[in-house]
Amino acid sequence: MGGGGSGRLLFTGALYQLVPYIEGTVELLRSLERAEGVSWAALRAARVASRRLDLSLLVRPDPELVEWSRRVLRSMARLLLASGAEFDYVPELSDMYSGALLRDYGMAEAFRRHAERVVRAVRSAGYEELIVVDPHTMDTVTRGYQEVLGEGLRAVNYMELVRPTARRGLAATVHDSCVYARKLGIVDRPRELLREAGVNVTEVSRSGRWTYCCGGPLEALLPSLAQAVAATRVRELAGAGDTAITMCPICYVNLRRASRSSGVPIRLLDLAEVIGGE
Amino acid sequence: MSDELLEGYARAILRALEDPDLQEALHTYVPGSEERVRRFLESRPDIVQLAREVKAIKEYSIAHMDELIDEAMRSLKSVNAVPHYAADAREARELALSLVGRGKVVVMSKSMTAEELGIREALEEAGNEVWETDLGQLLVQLEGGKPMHSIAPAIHMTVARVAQLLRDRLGLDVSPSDAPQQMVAKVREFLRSKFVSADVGISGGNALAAREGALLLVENEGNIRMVTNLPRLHIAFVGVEKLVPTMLDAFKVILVQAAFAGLYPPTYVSLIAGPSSTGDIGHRRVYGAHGPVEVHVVLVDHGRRAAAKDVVLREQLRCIRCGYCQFVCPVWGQVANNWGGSTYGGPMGVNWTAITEGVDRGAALAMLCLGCGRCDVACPVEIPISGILADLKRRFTSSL
Ligand code: SF4
Repeated sequence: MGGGGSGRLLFTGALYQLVPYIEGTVELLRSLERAEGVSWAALRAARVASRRLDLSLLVRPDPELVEWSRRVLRSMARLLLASGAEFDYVPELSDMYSGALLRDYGMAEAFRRHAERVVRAVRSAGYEELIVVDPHTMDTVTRGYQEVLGEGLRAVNYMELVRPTARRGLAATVHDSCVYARKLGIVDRPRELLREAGVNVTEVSRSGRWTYCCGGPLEALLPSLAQAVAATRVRELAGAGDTAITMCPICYVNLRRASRSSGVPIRLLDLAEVIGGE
Repeated sequence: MSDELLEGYARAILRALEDPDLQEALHTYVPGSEERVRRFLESRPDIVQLAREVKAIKEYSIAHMDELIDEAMRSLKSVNAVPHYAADAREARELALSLVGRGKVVVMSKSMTAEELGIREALEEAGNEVWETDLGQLLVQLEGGKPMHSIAPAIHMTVARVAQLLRDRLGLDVSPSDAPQQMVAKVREFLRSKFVSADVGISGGNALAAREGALLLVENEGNIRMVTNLPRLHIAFVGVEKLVPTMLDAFKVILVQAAFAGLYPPTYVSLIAGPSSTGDIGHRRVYGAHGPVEVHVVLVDHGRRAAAKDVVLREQLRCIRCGYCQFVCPVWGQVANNWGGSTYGGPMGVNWTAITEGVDRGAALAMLCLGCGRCDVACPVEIPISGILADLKRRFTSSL
């Protein structure tokens, strides 16, 4: 990876990397939700988001998730390379946060400023197009930036550029990301990739355009509610089989926690691990 | 202020998450309802197409609201109904009190608008005996709570709770082991006695045709026919967003409403254009046959006309209250209308709270939306529900 002049920047938006910190943060918020009143949790979310997303000061990352997120990102990079896609990886640019959470919490001004910073950095380094790896970053840098700046960044999803490098004798169900399925209309591509990789996909009734939320967007504001939503989804997915495939780090971490806390076992795998896994 | 509001709403949600009856009801009932409606709609592209038409009808109607109000006032008079206009809930309650008076027996058909305006409470306070006649809404009345869904108001109650309410509050001889059929029979007997003795019937309206002055109501239980037919005085409270140009438009609205509510074909449709009359004796028209002698229609603003001028909230006024967005919403599916204001809850209900109770209340509630967008996909009239909620979030955070 790396090098220069491809015109395409791999842009992780740091979301996979942030996920290991979420687990601890949510536990922290949840205990405060009970102990000190909910307003604290709400304001905290707003303030954390408005300053900087530096959760590392609050909690220690979960080492298992750190390893998972590295593994998934490595799989994505390998898949791209194996498919002959040309791109640059410039850590200080590629791992800039997109500002997704600021937008989700309606912090319009902070989000606009952040969007400007990202766009300026990407453009001044000479990149025309991003390769993105998660739904929230994709929606944020395209539609989100468009909303506040009048012009979004051009972005292509890694799934569009790759072919599977692994073959799996696996039966699994798919947990579509709300953002992919409903905001970006990406429903068929993950299934094509999975089928090509030999995965036998069974569908739950709430899938594709009708996919059910993992609860993630509320985890910083009202973790109990987020978990109730996640637990409902885990029960549904587990009813279809013992393995579910996610394609968003927020979905992954929420469903994983819900599976543990509700005692409904399910094996969760990221799409990139499955089609290009180590 | 906003922050305290959010805290209060969030507490109600946390309580609801720990209510075992509500949790059981929602988790067993809701996913199946969602799927049933989806399957039905997949088999009926004609209805989905009709919904597109209704979207256009409602868009036109919201944009021409003031003209339609004027036209409806005229046409209601021309069919010998008495039109009224209430700018807010207080005016609507005053009208109700002046038309009903005191010491009367009043039967009501379920109306979210009447609920929003506090009509029942006002009439009761003035010394009237007031009964909800939709079974679910009657249970809500007996409980002293609020409806949990626009078409399934008592979805939060177990059979045991229902039996207890009917026994304790109405003195009916029912037990939790009775089949629902038996309970319904007992309630039917009770309500029959109220229908026949009622002085006044109060309804809402699913659509009101401005050209013809005709009100359309759709239902399954058959109680609306009784409420609107048996008492000699009928009063309908209709939000001004329910106005559409013609009777044909109004029919389209109610068919789509019923289908997306999972009740297709609806069992009954009532069309009311003025008081009952006969011309059979001496060929002279005489008012008051079997139906009411007097029909009053109260067109209610209460935030709607201001919302029609708000570029974002305006879109929510297209809502035909089918409640499909509620059934598909993951947050509603956990806590029902406990995520909501004093009347409306769930995705559409938070936006309606902003319209009827003030933007600050709706905005605090909107913070608890996942933004997942299932509601947008469900809505027959393509209201960008989650987009409106996102805008309310922006209003909330900018007020901090
Ligand atoms: S917002 Fe749409 S889906 Fe929800 S109740 Fe209104 S019309 Fe039905």
